[in-house]
Amino acid sequence: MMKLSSSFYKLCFLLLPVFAASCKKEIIPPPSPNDPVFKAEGTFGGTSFTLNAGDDGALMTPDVEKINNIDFYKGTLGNGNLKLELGIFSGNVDMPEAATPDFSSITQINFAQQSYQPLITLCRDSMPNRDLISQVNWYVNGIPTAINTLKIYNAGKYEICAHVLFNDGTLKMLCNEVVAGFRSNADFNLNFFIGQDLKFKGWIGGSSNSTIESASWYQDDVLMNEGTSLGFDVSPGLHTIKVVAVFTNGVRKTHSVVIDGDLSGRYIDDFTKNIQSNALELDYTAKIKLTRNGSVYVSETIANNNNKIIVEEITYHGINSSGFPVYILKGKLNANLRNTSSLEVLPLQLSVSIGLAVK
Amino acid sequence: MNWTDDEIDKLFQESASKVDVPYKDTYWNEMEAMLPRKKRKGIIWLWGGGLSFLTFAVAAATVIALSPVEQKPAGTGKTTLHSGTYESTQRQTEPETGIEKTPESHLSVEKQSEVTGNRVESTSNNTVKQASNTGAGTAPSGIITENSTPLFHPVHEPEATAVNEESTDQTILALPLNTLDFAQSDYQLIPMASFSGLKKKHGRIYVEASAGIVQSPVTPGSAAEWLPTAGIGAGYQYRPQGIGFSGGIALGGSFGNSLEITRRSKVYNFGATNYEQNLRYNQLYHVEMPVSVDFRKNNHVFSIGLTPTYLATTRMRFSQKENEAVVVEGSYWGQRVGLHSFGLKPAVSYQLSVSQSWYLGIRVESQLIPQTDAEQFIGEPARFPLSGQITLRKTLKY
Repeated sequence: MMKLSSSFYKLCFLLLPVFAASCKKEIIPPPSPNDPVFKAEGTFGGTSFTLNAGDDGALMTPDVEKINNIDFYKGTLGNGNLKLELGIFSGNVDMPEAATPDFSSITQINFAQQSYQPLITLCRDSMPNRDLISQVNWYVNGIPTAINTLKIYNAGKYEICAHVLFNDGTLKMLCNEVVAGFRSNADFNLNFFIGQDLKFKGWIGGSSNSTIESASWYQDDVLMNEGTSLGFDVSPGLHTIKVVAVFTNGVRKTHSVVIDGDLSGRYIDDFTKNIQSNALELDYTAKIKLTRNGSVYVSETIANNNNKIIVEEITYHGINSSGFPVYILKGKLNANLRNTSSLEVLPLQLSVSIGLAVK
Repeated sequence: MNWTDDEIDKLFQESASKVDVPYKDTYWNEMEAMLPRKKRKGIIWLWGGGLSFLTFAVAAATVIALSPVEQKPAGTGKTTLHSGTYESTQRQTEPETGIEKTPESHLSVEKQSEVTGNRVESTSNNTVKQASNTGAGTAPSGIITENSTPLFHPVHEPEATAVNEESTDQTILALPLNTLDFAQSDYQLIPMASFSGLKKKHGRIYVEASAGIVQSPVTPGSAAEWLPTAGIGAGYQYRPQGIGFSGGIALGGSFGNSLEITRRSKVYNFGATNYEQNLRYNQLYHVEMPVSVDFRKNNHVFSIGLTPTYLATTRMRFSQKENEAVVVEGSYWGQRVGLHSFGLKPAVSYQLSVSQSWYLGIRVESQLIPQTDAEQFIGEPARFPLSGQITLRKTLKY
């Protein structure tokens, strides 16, 4: 027994270095240093500046902002004294699958510009049965905005509801989605007719850039038919007819009308047919906002028609804290920025690597 | 015939003064092959790993140091000395007898034979012949010389090399045993020789402890920093008067805080993260295998040697900060960040034999191979850092 014990201790002694080595904890060296990933260097109003995310308290904050229900892919780089915000509007807003720009094909980006003319004008007088309508209260995204005449200057996608007060005191609401300032990839008109025999006939018309793949007809949110037309006997009273159409290019559009089963003229036509709109398209355009010592300068309030962002490359970087994919836009730009208070305009020359979060 | 001790001593002394028998390795090898192996002591087993290296080192040193002289190294272990030196087949027919060869006495018993009728012809005065054994266990086989001066000299003096060994071999191999007429022999026991002066063992296992200071391989400040060091070891030494050698294995540790690495990196992303790691070695342990050539004069031993070293393990204090916040902190064993594993240290030393088995000495070494990656450590690397140690060595019998 003693011999066995002695041998055990000797073995332990000989294996001591092995035991020591096997207990070694791994020390992982710190990550390799790198150059600033997000940076901006240039002049603003003749004053040069440099912003590096990670230096002097500067941070890069990529984010997706909703501007009037339109995704704005932006990144904010700066610290308390100087902050640069650059973003790109999404495009193809009626095609959710194609809203994110194809960064691989982008070589230059135009600047978005604020319209000084209304992008959309809706008014009671453009309605066919305006003589039977006492007043129209326009609601934009659920907020009462205008009476009888609605003018929208800012680009976006809006849910507009017309609260129509007829002369006989009847109040009826009709809502439709309206896109202002962005390209429409497909659309249709909802046409209808009610005969004296209270036979309703509805059909889809109007120009379109794509073929309708399917259309669903609803009466008071009850599915009535699938197809491009609908006919049925109308019951007395006011009813809402809604058509949801899906186009082959993926666009999904909805239009609604109010019909009168009493044949007293208290109908509300699809007011989107009567939109007076200009041709401004802000798809994939850029905006810049620069804040310096508390003063805010923006690009969209001044003409930058001749200025562009020259894109060198857009590469995927990673996921930000909000879970959005982040792309690094590297490029150069010249732009004019206007002070939002003093209206002072200063030129901006910039070489930038900025992170844009996208959806 | 009964011999008194005085008579045996007298015979041995007379024999030793008259005859010089050449030494042959083959004799020893044959005899050793017949000997039962003695169980090794525990300490040998314990240091078996180290001694395997020592065996090689000692053998190499032996070849170098002793190559001019054919000499059987002393201290090859306890042996049982058999009186016969002949072929094993012959021994099988003869009762194998012998007496234990102890460190104190190499007394051997021989039969002295007055060969009268069948004298063995010999071509050499030093020819050794074997006679039969008829002593029924009490009278062992002996060695008969032609001139009736039986001597067997297993450990020889250096001048024995002058003997014509080749002729001796031939004579032995041609020995016709049947020509010996043992019936006519007058047997008597003759002591072979007194080996008391020759069998002194100079080879010893030793254990050693050391303590001293070692120059830090990195100089953090303007002046060299010295670290305390200590070690223990064991090995084998062969130290006759004159040139000897020793070799062994040791574990040495050095202690201090001069070896410090600070690693920083700034990683940019949406912001920046400042990483800082601090690695401070406070204990280094080396396995060392010192080999030295020793010159001994009386009680003084001067040595010059070479010590390969291997970094066995370390102990370090580690901390890591991210943006000034400590995220990891602790002591770690076995890290080698910035350190080199192998080294080579030339050494000179002096030892004073304060008693038969104790040596007190001083040793100075220098590290030839850089032990650190200079770019990683804070400070300037030291070129050939020195170390000085006081040593205390104890030799052990085995």
